[in-house]
Amino acid sequence: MSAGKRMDLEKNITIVSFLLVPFLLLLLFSYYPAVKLFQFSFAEWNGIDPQLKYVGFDNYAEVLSDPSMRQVAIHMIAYILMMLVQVALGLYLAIVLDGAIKGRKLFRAAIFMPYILNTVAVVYIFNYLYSYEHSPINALLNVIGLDSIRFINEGFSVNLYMALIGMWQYVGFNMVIFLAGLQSIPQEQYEAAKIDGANLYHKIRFITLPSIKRTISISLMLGINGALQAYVQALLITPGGGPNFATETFITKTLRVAQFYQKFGKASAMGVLMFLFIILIIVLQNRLLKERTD
Amino acid sequence: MSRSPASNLTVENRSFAVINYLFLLAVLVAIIFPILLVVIVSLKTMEEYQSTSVFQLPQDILNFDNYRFVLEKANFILGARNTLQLIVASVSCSVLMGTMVAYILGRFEFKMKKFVLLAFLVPTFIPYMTTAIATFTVIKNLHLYNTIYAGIILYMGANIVGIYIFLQYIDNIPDALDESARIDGASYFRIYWSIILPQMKSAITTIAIIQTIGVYNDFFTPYLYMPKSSLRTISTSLSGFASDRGADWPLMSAGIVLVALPTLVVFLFLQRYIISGITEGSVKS
Repeated sequence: MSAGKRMDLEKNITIVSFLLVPFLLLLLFSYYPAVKLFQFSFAEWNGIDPQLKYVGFDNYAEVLSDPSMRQVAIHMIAYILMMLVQVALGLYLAIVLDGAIKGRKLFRAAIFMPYILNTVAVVYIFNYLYSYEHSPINALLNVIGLDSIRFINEGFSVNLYMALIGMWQYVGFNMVIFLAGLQSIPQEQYEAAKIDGANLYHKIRFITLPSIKRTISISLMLGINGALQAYVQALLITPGGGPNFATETFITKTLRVAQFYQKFGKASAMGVLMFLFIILIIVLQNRLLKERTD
Repeated sequence: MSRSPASNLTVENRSFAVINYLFLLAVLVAIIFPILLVVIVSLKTMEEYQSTSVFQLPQDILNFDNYRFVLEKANFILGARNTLQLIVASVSCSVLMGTMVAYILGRFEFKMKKFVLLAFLVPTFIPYMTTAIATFTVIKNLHLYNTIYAGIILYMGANIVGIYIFLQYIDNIPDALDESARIDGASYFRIYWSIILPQMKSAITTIAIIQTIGVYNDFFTPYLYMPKSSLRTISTSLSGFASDRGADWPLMSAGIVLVALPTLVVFLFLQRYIISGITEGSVKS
């Protein structure tokens, strides 16, 4: 064997042996489940039977005609609304803390800090704040003469309170990635605008926002992903789904359908629908942003 | 990160600056207050909690009885041991695999390279939770359900973003280092191990810290794939304790503080790594 061939062989062996395990894991835990999910969604299956019974689009029909699904969809709107507030707040905080404001390092660190806290701990902190009789928030409201709030209620607002937990924990994340975006804007642009007599609004509207469009788009993308897949606060604070299933999110509902009703086919159809919905929103969003650029 | 005054969008206008500052203080209070209140409750006895205002400081601020009780009852020691096992095994494996994949993709030209790159990229767009039902059956069929390996292997496979960060670092390591080692007769594995890995120390540290925090804070994986009580992690220990003692706020608060403390300490000391890793991971992927 020539030296060149031996080198080729070594190269190929290196490539294959380095990629083999990661690739297998990727196939097994990323691609295969996605394909399986699709397959299950067309079958009636209790999670145990070795045989799948194919039922066509029945699961999809069941999901889409299920009135409780409409309720869940409304709950998800609460999470999306809060997510939009969160992205806007993150952007605002980034703009303010990008400047030479006093104590900005402390502010940045403190606002980001909840992001690294244990989510379960965070949820129970809020469970304490949201308790009715012992809630510090209600104690404060009573001091200034207002009535106590029943946070865990049967209405739409309970979902806003649930989503607020996510906002508290993740707004610092948005701030940090916006800060990175802001720092990539060349200073000359602001200087030039200043000479042209631009005011604060003009600078933000015509320099800052267009320059960080990509970061805004990433924030929204991650935000929609996170909002639609929110579950942990609802699952931990109201394990049974809350009064009248008022806190049910898409994921807690999916888990309930699979675990408690043993309807893996229906749960899979829900997963596929959510999957397609998230992809659709991301594609639409990218389209919109592209059109704006052109 | 000091900036020239030109970037101070919001400081130019005086009254605007004051409003901003007040608003920032309000945000700060909203962040700190909930944590502080829980710390206060955790240091109170049950009688004290019931008889005093939530804002009143504990009589004895060194009353750690609740902590002692929770440490025993909530099985946090077991949870900590399981969590530590998950972290050590999954983080070391995924750092190793991530750097190996990045080394191949960054240093070699081969057929199907584009395909491999794409294959590793696409799953970042698969919403993790939506496929859980199917992942669950995969774990079951591999007989990994209710074993610690379920957690280890799932965390290992979840390190796709890390590959992209590693790839960027590898691009910045001069090829000349590889070539001179090659001339000296080093194998590719040797180059990866003694040249590439040491050069990527800071990237590896960043990814390892972020993944450690991620595994420590994760609830879903242990909840769904390893619900057995002997496999409880820190996260599921706390939720398990809450379902027994959720209404006992002094005890619950002590549990919350104990669980939240480790990542908080890590954050205080390694803030720079964490923030740079988070930024690179999200903005560049």
